[in-house]
Amino acid sequence: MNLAPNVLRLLAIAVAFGVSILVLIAAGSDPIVALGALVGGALGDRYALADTALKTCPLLFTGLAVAIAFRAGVWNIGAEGQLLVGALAATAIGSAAGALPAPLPAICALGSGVLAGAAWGGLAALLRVTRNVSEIIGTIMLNFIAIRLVGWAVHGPMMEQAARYPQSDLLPASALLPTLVDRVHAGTLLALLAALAIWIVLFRTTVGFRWRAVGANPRAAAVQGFDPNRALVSVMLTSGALAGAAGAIEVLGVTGRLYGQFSAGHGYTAIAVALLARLHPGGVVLAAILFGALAAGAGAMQRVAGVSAVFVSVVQAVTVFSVLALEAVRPRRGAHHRGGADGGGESP
Amino acid sequence: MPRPTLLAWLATLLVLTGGCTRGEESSGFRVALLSPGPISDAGWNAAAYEGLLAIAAELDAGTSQVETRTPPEFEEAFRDYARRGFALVIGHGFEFQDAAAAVAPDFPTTVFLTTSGNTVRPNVAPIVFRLEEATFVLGDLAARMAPDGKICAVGGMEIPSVRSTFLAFEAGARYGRPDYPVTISYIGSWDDIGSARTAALALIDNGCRFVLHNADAAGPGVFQAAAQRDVYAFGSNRAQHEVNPRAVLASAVIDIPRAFVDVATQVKQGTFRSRVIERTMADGSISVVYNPLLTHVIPDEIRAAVDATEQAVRTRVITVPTAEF
Amino acid sequence: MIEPAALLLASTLALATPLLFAALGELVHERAGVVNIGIEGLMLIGALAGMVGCHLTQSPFLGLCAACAASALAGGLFGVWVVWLDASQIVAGAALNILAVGVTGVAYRAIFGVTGAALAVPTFEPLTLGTDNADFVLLAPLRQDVLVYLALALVPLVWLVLFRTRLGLRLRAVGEAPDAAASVGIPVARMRWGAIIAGATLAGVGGAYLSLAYSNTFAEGMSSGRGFIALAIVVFGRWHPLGVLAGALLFGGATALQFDLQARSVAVSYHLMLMLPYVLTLVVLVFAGGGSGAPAALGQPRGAHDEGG
Repeated sequence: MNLAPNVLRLLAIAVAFGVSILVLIAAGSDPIVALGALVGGALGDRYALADTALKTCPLLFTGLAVAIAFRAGVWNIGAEGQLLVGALAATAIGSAAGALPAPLPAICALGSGVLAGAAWGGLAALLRVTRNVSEIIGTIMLNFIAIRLVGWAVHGPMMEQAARYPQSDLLPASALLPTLVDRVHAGTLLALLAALAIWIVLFRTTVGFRWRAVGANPRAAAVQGFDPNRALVSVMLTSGALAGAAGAIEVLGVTGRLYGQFSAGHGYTAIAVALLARLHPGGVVLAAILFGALAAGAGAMQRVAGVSAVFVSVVQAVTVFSVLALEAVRPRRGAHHRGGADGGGESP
Repeated sequence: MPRPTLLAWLATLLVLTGGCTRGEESSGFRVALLSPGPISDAGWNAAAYEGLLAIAAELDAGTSQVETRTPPEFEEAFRDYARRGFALVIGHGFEFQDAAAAVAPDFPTTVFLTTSGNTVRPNVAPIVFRLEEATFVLGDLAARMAPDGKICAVGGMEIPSVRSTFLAFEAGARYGRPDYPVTISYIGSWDDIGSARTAALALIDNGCRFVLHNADAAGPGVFQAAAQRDVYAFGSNRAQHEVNPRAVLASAVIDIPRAFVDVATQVKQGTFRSRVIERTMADGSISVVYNPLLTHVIPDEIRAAVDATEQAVRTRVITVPTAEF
Repeated sequence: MIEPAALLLASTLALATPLLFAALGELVHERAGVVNIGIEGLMLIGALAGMVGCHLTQSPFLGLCAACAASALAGGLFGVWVVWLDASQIVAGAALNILAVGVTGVAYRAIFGVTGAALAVPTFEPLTLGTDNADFVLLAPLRQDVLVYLALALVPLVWLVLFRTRLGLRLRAVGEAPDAAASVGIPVARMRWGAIIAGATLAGVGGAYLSLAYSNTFAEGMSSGRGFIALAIVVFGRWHPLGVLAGALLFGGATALQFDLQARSVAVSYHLMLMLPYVLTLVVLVFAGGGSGAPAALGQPRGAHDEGG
């Protein structure tokens, strides 16, 4: 490989790291203390690890959702909306089914969240297949619609009994996910299982092979008799289901109720997670942990080192840019594959 | 195959910083603030941060501030501060109540204060600002100045504290004339200045002569609309006439720093007892501040009548209606 | 009936303007095969730089120049990653958004104090039309600031450059088939650099519109998702300037209508009202048919080194 680009890339990383340090000095804080807080807040003790695990869980589900869709050449930008309707459905069903015997309410709530997410993803697929409405625009619009839907629900039919605050009532304990250790709930285990399952589906089943074939080269796939529309619908249903699970698990494992500002942008972060992971389920696990750790460490940086939220954003951005530069250092095989994995364009 | 790179990156970070321990923390009186948005909003969050700075200056306290957006973050921040021995942790909004109540039993020596709310525990207390008293007076002022017109309000989101200030604004307008028309729009955001401007323009074009905003950082959009249509607007939370001297006739103002310092003093002296802490016009925490450049716009007799209303509110001769929350 | 329509049209144009700038900026990017989801961040940077420039010079025009310079610079950073380093465009764009939130927050607090500015800068004012009588409501749609006219003028201009010049032909060739373009001697990297800088500048102007026309100040996060709407508008407009104009007007119109209905106290939850623009966009697409027209090489991070960068 040519040496010059590598030097350039290493230089980019050095500059990025230097910028981080300078930014922290400009913020008036000791960069060692601040970066120490970032790492300490992400991995330093059991509380930090629990926090990282909690923040990783929704990113893992949504990251997988985005990864499989992009693998199939379907640009699902809608994990955010699918997560929200998943949370909405889980809250509604969780409170309705609360009286059932112990594990049933939680299972029903989680299941309804998965179904709702799948339906929201399926709606975008339906628009694409029947009316040729680009799934990019469909999913973006459905994101904004889902945000308003949640707002309407918590101000209207799902507002708490006391009718004071725009939020639902707390779900009955029977509908909540069991806690494993500290605040870490069973949903994190499900997330890891989901990653394994998606790996198996992608690389060990016919469905996964078809998704990958359609994503890599839709024309060749069509010649082989794979219906691109069928692949599109099935991958959007699966993708939506994963994102819906993320929302349901946030409600059932962390918040216990739905409220107006429920969305924390996981569905958008998931796009970066999936692409950084090269759309590989194993990579998604690691990338989700990286972003989860960054989010957990970011809070600690504010609380411990007194670095304000805006400086934290700069450090986070510099970290992503650096990781990206590091990624670019490695030689890659075949631009055509990357093209399929990377773009926002449509499969013809 | 992203494994080597990502892991290498994490490892590098760890090596670079791993040897460093967290900074030694002082063990004196410490206070933390959880703000729901950026402290640079020149409004709700900025006022809370000024309160934190005032506590640091007047009570020689160590302070810390964190921007938190979601309940999981609220709880995590409450826990972390309490674990590290902060004496007072302030959650700046009603939305912090759940998290405060959930964390408080584990940390009986820390006081958790929420700005607005109704949850009281041995070490959880809400501080409620009766901004409604000021918006009531503004409603009265607007209705007197536009006896045949309409007035309106633009809200960020329909949360109880915002709805309540609008309810009082409406009641103030109807103080003189029971059927006075008041229209309310919401923009669904706290920072979308463009939507705030459009909402205000639509209201003004439908006949409204005065616009109150309670949309935090989006407020300047309301002022811009008022300036371009030659009507007047009212600021909220802070005296906002400097943001748009041409349009802002008066503001409904909360003195958050003073209230925060009072509570922190009690906590420091060990005299704090948990209750709903109410701050009103009577104790000087709430006021109506007029734009000095536009005082000539208000006829003397109207100003006198409005001042009388304000006095009646302050002395509780008039009971200002509020949304129950 | 006509007067409310005129007022609605006036609001529509004002709402469409920042979307139009941003979407045209993204269109220029995408025609060269580059997806930039960092438009939201570029708008934020433009908004702050415009306000700061205007504060220092007391001139909205110089503020606009500052916005152009700052967003072009930020676009340059994006270009380093996606053109020089061949990095993933989507991740780089996402990082740009995070960076913009941080940098604008840091700069704003550094310049105007931690708790924000309670100050006003001069703004672009609506033009007064000759012997204009403000009571004559029918002229309201024309009573706009100069940037509204600039945005509208850019639509045919971008069309002309993209579809009627050699430069535009080469740019589109890079977006459709970079390998083929390189083989006939088109400098792929340089074309993409140009598209990124020009597109970023347009997005920055859209951002400056928020701080210098919608209001007279800056607020952190004031772009409020317009950058993402702009992405959707480009797809909606099928990568054509006229389609982009239609998309921006549709979206602006639905938003204006929704606020007008709220102002008339229509008894529908405001949450459902705020949903209107998004639902309407989908409905229009359902009936108009989606269509495509995406540049074939959109998003491919290749083409940087085939002619020496």
